[in-house]
Amino acid sequence: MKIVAIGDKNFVVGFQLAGIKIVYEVSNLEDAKHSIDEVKKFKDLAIIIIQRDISQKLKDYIAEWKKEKDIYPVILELPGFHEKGVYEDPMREVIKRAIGIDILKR
Amino acid sequence: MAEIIEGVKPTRMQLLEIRKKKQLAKNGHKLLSEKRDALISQLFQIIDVREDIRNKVHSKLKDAFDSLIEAEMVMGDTAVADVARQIKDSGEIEATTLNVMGVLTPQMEIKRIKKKVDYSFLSTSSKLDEATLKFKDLLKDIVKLAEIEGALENLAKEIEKTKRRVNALEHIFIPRFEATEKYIELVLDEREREDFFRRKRIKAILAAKGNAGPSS
Repeated sequence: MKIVAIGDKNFVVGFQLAGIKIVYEVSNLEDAKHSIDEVKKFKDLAIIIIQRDISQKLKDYIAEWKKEKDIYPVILELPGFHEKGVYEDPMREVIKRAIGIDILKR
Repeated sequence: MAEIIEGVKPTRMQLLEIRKKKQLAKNGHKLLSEKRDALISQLFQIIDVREDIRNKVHSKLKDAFDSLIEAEMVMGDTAVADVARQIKDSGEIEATTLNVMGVLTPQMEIKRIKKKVDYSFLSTSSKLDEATLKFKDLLKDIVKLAEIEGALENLAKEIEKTKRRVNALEHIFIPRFEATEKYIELVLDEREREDFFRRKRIKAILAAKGNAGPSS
């Protein structure tokens, strides 16, 4: 099974250095959406690493995908190089829905 | 008071059947709520582990990006991108699933991460080597993090489902069975009393008749 990385230039180059071959360099949201659609067609994927900037903006799109996908691929959100500010943890909502209280630290 | 089940006939057969169903629902409720509690405790364990790994990955990633930017400053970003494209594939993952109390969770292992860099040293800077090694080192933690997040997500989904079932049993099905059981019992008792009265009455009438005309 493979890993895929989707992100901006620095993000992609970094993961290429780590030996990940399938990468999508995206510069805007349209591109990102297209590459996510393309990634969906792959059969043999284990992890999809998406840059946080993008995944936060396409939150609904990704949530929809998460609903229809199987156990694999796992969608993982990682921060890019110059990302500051407060981002919401994607697991927060999941956990809140499951046990009814918000227990993750901010 | 919960509503009784529609279309149920107040007979002894039905009463027995409903009692059986109620017992089944109660057993199911007990089992499911135990399952829910077990899953939640599992979730709590995972949350702590995830928090640690996540922090580790984030700080390592930041470090690695810093090295990468330094390398780009020394060599120029197109040169770095060129080198990055030549790196050999090491993103092959052995993926299976693990069954945690009826919930399938991902289990992944990255096969081979070579600790040496595979490009020419002549045209590259040592900063690039540093960045490469850092990213390669990171990969293992990322796989671990992905595994945990996948497990967390699936557990959460299962907990939600189980919770809904427990609540449905507790607040709808069991009260409904109990109400129906009570209703049938009441109707049967009423019928018994009616019967009893009717027998008494007939006996009285017969006795009266017997007294009036002993010849018949």
